[in-house]
Amino acid sequence: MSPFEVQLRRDLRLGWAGRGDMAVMLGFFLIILTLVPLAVGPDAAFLQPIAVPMIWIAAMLSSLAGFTRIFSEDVRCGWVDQVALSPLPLPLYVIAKAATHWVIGAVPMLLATPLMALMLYMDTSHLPALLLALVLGTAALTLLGVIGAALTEGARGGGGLMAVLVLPLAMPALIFGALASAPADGGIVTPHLMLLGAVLAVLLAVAPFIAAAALSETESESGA
Amino acid sequence: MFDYLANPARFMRIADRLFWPLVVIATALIGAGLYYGLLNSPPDYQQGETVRIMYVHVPAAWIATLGYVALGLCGLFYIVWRHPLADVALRAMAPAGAMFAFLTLVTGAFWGKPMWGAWWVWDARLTSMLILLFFYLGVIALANGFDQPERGSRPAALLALVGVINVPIVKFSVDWWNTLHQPASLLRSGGVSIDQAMLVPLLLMLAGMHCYFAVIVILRMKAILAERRLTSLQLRQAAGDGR
Repeated sequence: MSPFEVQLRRDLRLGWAGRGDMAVMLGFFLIILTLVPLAVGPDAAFLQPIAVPMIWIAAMLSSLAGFTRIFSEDVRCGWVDQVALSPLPLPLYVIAKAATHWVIGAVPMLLATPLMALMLYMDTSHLPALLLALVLGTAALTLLGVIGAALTEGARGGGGLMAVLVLPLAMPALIFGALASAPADGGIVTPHLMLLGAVLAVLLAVAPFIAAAALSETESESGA
Repeated sequence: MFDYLANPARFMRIADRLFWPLVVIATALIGAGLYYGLLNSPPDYQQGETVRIMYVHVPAAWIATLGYVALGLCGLFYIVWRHPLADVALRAMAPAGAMFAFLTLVTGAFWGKPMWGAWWVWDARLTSMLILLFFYLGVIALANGFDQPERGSRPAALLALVGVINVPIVKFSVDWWNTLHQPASLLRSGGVSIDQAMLVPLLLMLAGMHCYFAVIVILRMKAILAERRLTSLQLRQAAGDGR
């Protein structure tokens, strides 16, 4: 078994053991969307046009909510130091973290999306496009969240500070994602979806290295 | 050159020598620019007197964007070469740049209300400028977000570097999208498209406000270096008392 697989298995087990934390993310997602009709009013004519944008905003905010402490336990118990000594490069460790976080945090949210779309009177013909765009979008958000979590590791006001850093970076994903989720001509693979895919590809290439650079600092200074 | 400046005491000496000339030049240029801009230049045939807002708006916008490039460069120098002054410069520049980004948005709103009939429109240029302000605020928050101040340096440098991606979006937003904000008039292919009567005060203000930015940054860098020196002196004193 390669070191990467070991890391992946470990994180999946830990994630499963701490699944209560991830349930909080799902609950946050559901509650944000429940608040919308309370604020806007239960009228389907108002809710239908904002269903897709609100689902995106809720997905963004609840993805962030699960991130604040993704690395802190590993830094505190010395796991990051061990990874730095091991043959597993830190960027790969970051990818393993992001992948497991996406599987445990985002997939339940994706499964709950059709239900929420129904409750917000969304046009069901857009559902496949929305789900596909959300798969790419949540993956991109996960990578951004990993950057934010690594940068703010050990900082004082973790959650709020991270939101301030990550949300400006998340805007391209939000713009293309929301556009790709409600295609005008009914097709699923739109130019916006491809641009969202491009955002994800760029993030996949750079995010692990940025996060690793931030983490290696935390690790060297806490070890000193 | 960079090694030469790495000594804070040497940097302070050079900065001290530059400081007062820069203050004088900035005051003279901004004074002349304001005189021509506010009193001795024609109103625009379409915009009327509101065109004078441009003499503050455009330099502020240039400084906000160029300042972010400088911030990103500081981040790069700090991460790659661990240049000790890069961190000081980054911390000094971030609030100054944020102030100019804010000034850009506010003066733009003052101009937008009479001209477009709205304080704010969700146009690509305006929105990307707002995001630039958020990046500045993020860098400031991150640099000061740790209990040991020096631990914030590297995360802030990384974020400054990542945020540079937004700068070309700000600059070229008017070309890539069909924005309500007018396209570039100075740095454009085909030459400057402003009449000389308005170009002179604009260039004076551009030069003057860039000097002003340099003055603020030097002042803030000196303050940060003095503060660090004070802290280390206090620590040394406390250690001495303990013995």
